[in-house]
Parts: sequence; structure tokens; C-alpha cells
Amino acid sequence: MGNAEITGLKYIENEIAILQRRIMKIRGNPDPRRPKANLLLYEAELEFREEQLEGIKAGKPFGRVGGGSLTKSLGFLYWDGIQSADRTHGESAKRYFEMIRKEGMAEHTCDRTIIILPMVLSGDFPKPNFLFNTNFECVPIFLSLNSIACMLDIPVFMVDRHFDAYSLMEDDDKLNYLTNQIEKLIAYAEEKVPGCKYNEDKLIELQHYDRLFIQKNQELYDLRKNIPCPIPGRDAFRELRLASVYPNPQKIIDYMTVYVDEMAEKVAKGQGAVEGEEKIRLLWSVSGPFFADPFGWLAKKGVAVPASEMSIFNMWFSRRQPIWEDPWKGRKLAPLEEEARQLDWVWGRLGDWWIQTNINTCKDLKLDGIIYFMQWGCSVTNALGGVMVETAEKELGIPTLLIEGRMLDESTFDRQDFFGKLEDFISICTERKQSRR
Amino acid sequence: MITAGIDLGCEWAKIVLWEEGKILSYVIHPYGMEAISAVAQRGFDEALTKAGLHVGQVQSAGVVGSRRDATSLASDLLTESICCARGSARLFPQTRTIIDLGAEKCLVVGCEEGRPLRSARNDRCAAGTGRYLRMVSKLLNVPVEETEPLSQQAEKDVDIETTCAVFAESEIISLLHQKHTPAEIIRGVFKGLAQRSYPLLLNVGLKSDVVMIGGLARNGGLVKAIEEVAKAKIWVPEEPAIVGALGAAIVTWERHRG
Repeated sequence: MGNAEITGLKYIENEIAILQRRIMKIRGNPDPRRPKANLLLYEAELEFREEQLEGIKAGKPFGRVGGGSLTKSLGFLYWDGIQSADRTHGESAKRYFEMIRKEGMAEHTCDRTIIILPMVLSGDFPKPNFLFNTNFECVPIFLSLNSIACMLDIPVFMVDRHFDAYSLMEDDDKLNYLTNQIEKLIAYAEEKVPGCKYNEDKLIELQHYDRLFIQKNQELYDLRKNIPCPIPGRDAFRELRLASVYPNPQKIIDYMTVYVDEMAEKVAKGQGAVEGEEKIRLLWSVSGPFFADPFGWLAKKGVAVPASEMSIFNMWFSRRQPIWEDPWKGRKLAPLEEEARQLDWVWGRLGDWWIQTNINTCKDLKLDGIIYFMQWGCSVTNALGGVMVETAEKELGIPTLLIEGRMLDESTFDRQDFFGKLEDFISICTERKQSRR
Repeated sequence: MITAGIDLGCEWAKIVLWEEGKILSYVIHPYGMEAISAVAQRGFDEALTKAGLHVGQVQSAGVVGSRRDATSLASDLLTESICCARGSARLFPQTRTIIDLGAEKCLVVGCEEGRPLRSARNDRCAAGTGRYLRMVSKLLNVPVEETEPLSQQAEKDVDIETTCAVFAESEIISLLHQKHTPAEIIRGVFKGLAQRSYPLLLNVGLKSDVVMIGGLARNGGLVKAIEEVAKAKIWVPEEPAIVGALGAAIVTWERHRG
């Protein structure tokens, strides 16, 4: 099967060029302040993008069919539209916002979820052959994916998930309900996208890699508990891909191993990621104006950000959810049952879940406050801002800063206002920490 | 030990000289068209003269406010929540909530024993600040200092529906054409300002005693409007504009007392 016209390679080609430059720079003149493991990461990322580029040119299927491991086990190249949208900034993001406004698309929704639409519609990012969608709290992503499918006539399969924590509850009926849908999803994908075929051995292999990957992330999470925290704030938000989506999953495991070892060495030496003494430690929740480098600014003031609550990875740590191959009522799940279980990444549920994961992270990592970014258009997290403030105060005795903004749209950002509020909040956290001693 | 607190806001420089429990002198100066650094220096010199001191007797200085970077007089760069909390608690030891309404800001701080617990402030918007009142008073041709007695003449207020200070101008002109009096409009503006600050009060947890500081706290009509909306008694210091500077002097004293 081939694409009628090969479009959407500009973003991927651009990413490849960036990664090649980074790798060349590291090999030629490595920055001693940066982890050595970064070379492995960029090499793995380059392989990921090169696989996409060559695969699309060769007409391989490209899309999302459930999680990464299932997608790859069906022979698809992994479509990472939303994550790629997150990486846009500067002139690119500006151009996409202009398209959004010109085309009359929803402007005041969450910017990180709407921006994939102009990226794909303009042909900058490849159009997928198949999409999977599911109900969860992020209604903007749900709508964006459905919009892409509808506008570009892409087959999409909707999986209906429960809102309660069926994976933690080990509810057999609910697991069966999801597993049946995944079987239908596979059949639908095989029907709609010639050339893709489910390979169960491949799925089992990839699920194992994902287990290893999450185990490494658990080690990293445990390292974050140290004071000072060795991991920089901007890395708290780095949303890595699961190992299964890489052409060489072992490479990303190797990267994690080296990275964890480097961070462990820093812990052994008492080295933190901030400048000077680590004065306070904060949780950064939801998203933020990363283009303004708030983490660099915080690090200069001795403020560590050991964790974020946005990354899906926290669901295994702060939400205490089971990882791949963990037993279910004492038995091993079949591969498709495991996929069904891992679809339980509803992060908010009726609100209490979202609040509790933030609280858990603060407790685990001994944090002194929460920066809760009220991302425009994120109805769930915005609605819970006040609850977060009250709960953090009541259960942990720590303050929360509610601060509004957008992640990618720089036109709405007021630097003085933003950093002024941040500075004020840091001084309050510092005072309160001192009075707790 | 004598310390200085310098509060450089958007329009005014406030300087306080402090010695362990006592305000030795204070000065309030508008910037006008002068450089902020020059006004700060002049104010500092004047405060020294008023207290009968020379500069060598001041052991340290702290500066706070949105324009704090404009002066090199102070070594301690401080934040507003802490200075408001310290200064207010010095004057009213039972302070639990502070409203600091200035030319460009509305800052609300929840505190206890002079320590800030949490704060909330307006986004950069004139609607809930002194700028808005100044715009209205100019439009109505009423000096800002006369808005309070004028508001008392109104038998009722009028609702200003727009939340934007820029668009409020055209709405007020419409109200004048509808024969509403300036007194009624001023009362409506006070009510609007009070309503803007109320969500911030709820955000930090409104607890008594509530203290209002900043230049706008001198306006009894506005204070009354906030009391009505918040349903709480509000205490106002004798000179509310200097509380931030007082807090800065106290914080810098704490840091350097050894």
C-alpha cells in the first residue's frame, strides 16, 4: 500500500537534521555539564525519525492502534502527532496559530492539542493511515483526533473505557470489555489498512521492553527523592516515548540504564541540579510556558523541580498503577489483556484521582509547594485548581500557586507578570519551609 | 540597628527608616517625569534628614516593588507578599488577610503572625487597580481625592457591566448620557473594584482581621465598598502607602541582625 501523495515529511526531516547536529556536537565537543547518556537518547530518537521517514516513503502504514506496543506489533510506524505538536515553538507555533485563526478553528482551547490540526492539514506533519481514539479527560485531544480523522477521511476506532480504576480494582468484567474491543480494533485495522497484520510474538517482546523501561523510570523516580535532586527541572517534563515505539527498543533501555547510573553517581556525590544550595523543591503540574525556560530561571534561585504531574509516566509511580507483566489476581495476563489493562491511563477520573496523584508525588519526593499551571482550555485541571490548593494545604501544609497561561502561544505571555508571581510564590514557600523547621 | 525599606511601585517611591520596633521617618514621593533612581535617592536622603541620621548609620536596606531594579540603594531584593505581611502585622498584629491595592496591582495575602501563607494577585490588567479609578476620575473631571466625598452623595450606585478598564470608558459615557450622576457612577466603580478583589480574597481564604494597604486604602469609599462585598471589617493603617516599605525594612533587619 502506498500513500497517494507523500506529504508531511517536512517536520520529520527537520527533526532529523536537528538530531544529527546534536549528535555531531556531542561527538565532537561534549558538554561536560550534560549527561553522557544523551548521546544514546539522540541516536535512538534519530533512528525513530529515520524509520518514520523511510517507512512513509516506502508506503508503510503509519498511525496509532492502541498503545505503542500494539501499534508496532501490527506493523505500523508510530504516529506521534500530539507529542510532536508539544515540541513546536517560536515561529513554527506562531505560523500554526495564524492558520488556526484564519481557518476559524477553536482558538481558545488547549493550544498543545489544537496545534496538531494545522500541522497535519498544512502537510507539515504526516497524515496517519489509521487512528485510535478513546474517551478520557482530555477532551481537546479526543476532539483533535476525531477532527483529523473526519477532515482527512482517516479510519478511526473508538475504544470505550471505564472511568473507574479497573486496573487497580482488578475487575475481570471490565478487563474483558476492553479486551474484546481491542480484538475488534485489530480486526478493523487489518481490514482498513492493507499490509498490517497482528503479530502476537512481537507484541509480547515489545511489552517486555516497556516493562524494562518503566522499571528504569521507577529507579529514576526513586532518585528524585534525594535532596538535592540530581535531575534538572526541564527533565521532569521530558515525556519520553515508551521503548516499544523505537525501532531498536534495547537502545532506549541502554540509555535509561546509563542515565540512571549517572544520576545515581550525582546522588552519591551530593550533586544537585540547581545552582548552589537547593533551597526548596516544587512540583510543577499540568504544563507551562516552556519557551520562557522557567526551569533555568528556577534553578538559578536554588529551586528544584524534581517532578511534574502531566507526564503519563507518573501514572505508574504517583498513581501506583500496575506495569506491564505485573500479575493480575496472581496470574499472568494474555498479551491483549495486558494492552487492555495498560489502556487504564485515565488520569483524572472524577477529580479525586488527579488530586491524589499530585499529593502522592509531593509526599514521595518531599516537596515544599506546587506550581499549578492553569492551561487555557484544560477544563479538568482548571476546574480542580481550587481543590488542589485546599487539599495540598490540608494534607501536606504546603502552598499552591495557581497561574494561568498557554504552553505554546507566546503572544499571550507576559514575562514580568509570570516571573513576578513565581518569585513571590518562591519567597512564600521558603518562609513556610523555614517556619516548619 | 537601623535599616531602610524602599518600596518602588509604579508611580510612587516610599521609604521607611526603621529601628527595632520604631519607624524613625518615612517619605512618599511621586516619580512624575523624573528617573526612578533619582526619586529613590532623593527620598532616601530626605528620610535620613527627617530622622536626623546620616547614611552611614543605616546598616542595610531592602527594596521591594515592581520597579525595585531601578535603584542600587539596597542590597536585599524582596518580594511583596513577605513585605506586606511583615509590615501589616507590625501595625495590626492580628492581621490574617491583606489587600494591597495599588496603581497597577491588586495583591491579596493570607498570613499569620506576619508570615505570608499564600497570595493571589491580578493578572496584568487595569480593571481592578488604581489606574482604573484614575481613568474614571479624569473622565468625570473629578480629582481622585474627591471621589470619596462625592460617592457619599449618591443615593444609589450603578452597575458598570464591562470588566475592562478600556471599555468601561465608553460605558461610563453612556451612563452619563442616561442621566446617571457622577456620584452614582463613582459608587458603581468602587463596587466594581471591590468585586474584582473579592475572588482573590476567596482564593487566599478570607479571614479576620483584614487589613487594606497601598495608596487606594486612603479612599474610604472604596474601603467601604470592599467591606460590603467581603462582609468583613477592614482595618486601614494611618499611612497605608508605606506598609510595603515598612515590611521591607523589617525583613532586612531580620536578615542582618546576626
